[in-house]
Amino acid sequence: MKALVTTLLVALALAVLVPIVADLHIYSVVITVLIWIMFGQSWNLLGGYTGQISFGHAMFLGIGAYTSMLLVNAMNLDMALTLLIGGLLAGVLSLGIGFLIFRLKGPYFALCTLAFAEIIHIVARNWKGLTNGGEGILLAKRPTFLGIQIFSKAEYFYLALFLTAAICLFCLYLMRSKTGYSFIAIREDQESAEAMGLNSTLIKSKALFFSAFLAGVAGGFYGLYNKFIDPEMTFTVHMSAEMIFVTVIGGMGTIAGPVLGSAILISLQEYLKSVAFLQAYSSLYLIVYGLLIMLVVVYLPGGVVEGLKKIRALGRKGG
Amino acid sequence: MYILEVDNLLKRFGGLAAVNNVSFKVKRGEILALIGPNGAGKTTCFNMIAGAMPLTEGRVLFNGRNVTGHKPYDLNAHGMARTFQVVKPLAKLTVFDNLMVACLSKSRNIKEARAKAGKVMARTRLDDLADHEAGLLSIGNLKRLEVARALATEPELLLMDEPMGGLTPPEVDQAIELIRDINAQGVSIVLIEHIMKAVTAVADAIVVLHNGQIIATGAPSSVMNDERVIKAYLGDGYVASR
Repeated sequence: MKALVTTLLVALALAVLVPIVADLHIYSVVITVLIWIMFGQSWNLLGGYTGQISFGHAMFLGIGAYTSMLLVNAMNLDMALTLLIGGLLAGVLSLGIGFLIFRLKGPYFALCTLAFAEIIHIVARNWKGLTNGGEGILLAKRPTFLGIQIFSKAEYFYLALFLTAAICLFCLYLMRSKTGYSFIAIREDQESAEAMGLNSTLIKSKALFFSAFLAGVAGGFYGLYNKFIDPEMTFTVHMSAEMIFVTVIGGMGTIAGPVLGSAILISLQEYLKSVAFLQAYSSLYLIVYGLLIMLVVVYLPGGVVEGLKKIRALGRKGG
Repeated sequence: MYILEVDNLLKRFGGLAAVNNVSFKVKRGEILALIGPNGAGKTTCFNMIAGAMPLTEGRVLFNGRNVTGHKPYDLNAHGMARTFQVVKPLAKLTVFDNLMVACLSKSRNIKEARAKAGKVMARTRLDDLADHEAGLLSIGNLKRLEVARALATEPELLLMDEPMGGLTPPEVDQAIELIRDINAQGVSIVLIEHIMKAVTAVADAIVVLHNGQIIATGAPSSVMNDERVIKAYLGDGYVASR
């Protein structure tokens, strides 16, 4: 109940405050943070809660992005429908992949997800009839969501906020259900979980489906918001890695983790991009960004959430 | 009449037969102890019966139904639960949440599972530790948690792999009491245990394994006096203490 109220209050506060202070740049940053919260929650379901590390989650994001973009351009379908279809397609693809690779464990599973993502990346680059290859696809229509036209930054902000809150609440609900308990049991000890009556293959498939579905939905929004997609901004390892970063930095296996991780990392990226010294050298900010991530992983393996818990515990002791 | 029938179980690891032609039956409501020296093949037998390891040959009947090669979760759904020799808690979860996972496999919803988990904790005297992280418990409490999780899945047959290993003498007495209590509720038990005091206190029948083969079987009084068992496992010191 506390988490539900907190999520709703934060969403409400953002909905009221951001439009008051935001210019176009701030809107862009906030929307980017919200997009990465969605991606992070998606990866977190599989990697953080179920313990199945995927290095290729961008493939689900890309499927969602291309599905939504193509459906809006070709049929002018409502975004509510295109996001849903994109999510379902990503989910169905995940079931096929899961069937093939869930017998693998640990690094072998992770590497296979990477391999599948790369296969889909290559297909997307070369299937020009569908994806327009490396030239990408431009958004050609003004999309609607439940009949409301979405075009300005403010409109995209409210939709992003709605989708992010819905995804966070969905994850909260899921992780407090029978299914959520089974995800965590598999993460903690698969043999033990099976001895308690849990079918590990079925449970991992469920986790992968939900995770891919959310990545597909978020990917659909990401593509339409950018008004352009190509294989490099959707299917690449960089996108998969970023999903892992926002979750690991924030705190794996927690709802707050991807929220904090995204807010911190996207803000940090923006700040580093604005530092004059770093601007002089293209992409130097990425090296600084990478070093900072390494420091957090080494000194705070449980992420920011764990750090906050430690501070709180110290506060209690001190008090 | 028999809840478990193990028929000519064979497990080969390359050229080594770790379990060789092992057959025994467990009557409904009985406690059968599977004993023998380290490396005799007891845990390998358990793993094959519980579906955690494939058999080379043989067959396992549970409630008269052939369950050979069935997966652990399937066997659990049909009423067979197990504990592990090396405890396997869901380390980062609390004791209560460990039991919730087990209870949810047989419950319709969270509310029902919560009520069941509470009852099992009380029955296994874990209620004071409900909010403790399982990975931080003492070995005695971890062994009790193993049993509690198995009980939470409402088994008809419980396979217990050294539930008293590493326990202090008072904890062994409590474990004996717990096993009797579980059995009194109608749960049949197959017990692997090295503490003979416990075995003789609870077992209705004993099967002795040595080098993967059965060397003796029968009531505790006759098995404990069997010269082959004394020579292979109990040792002359045990004779002196009889």
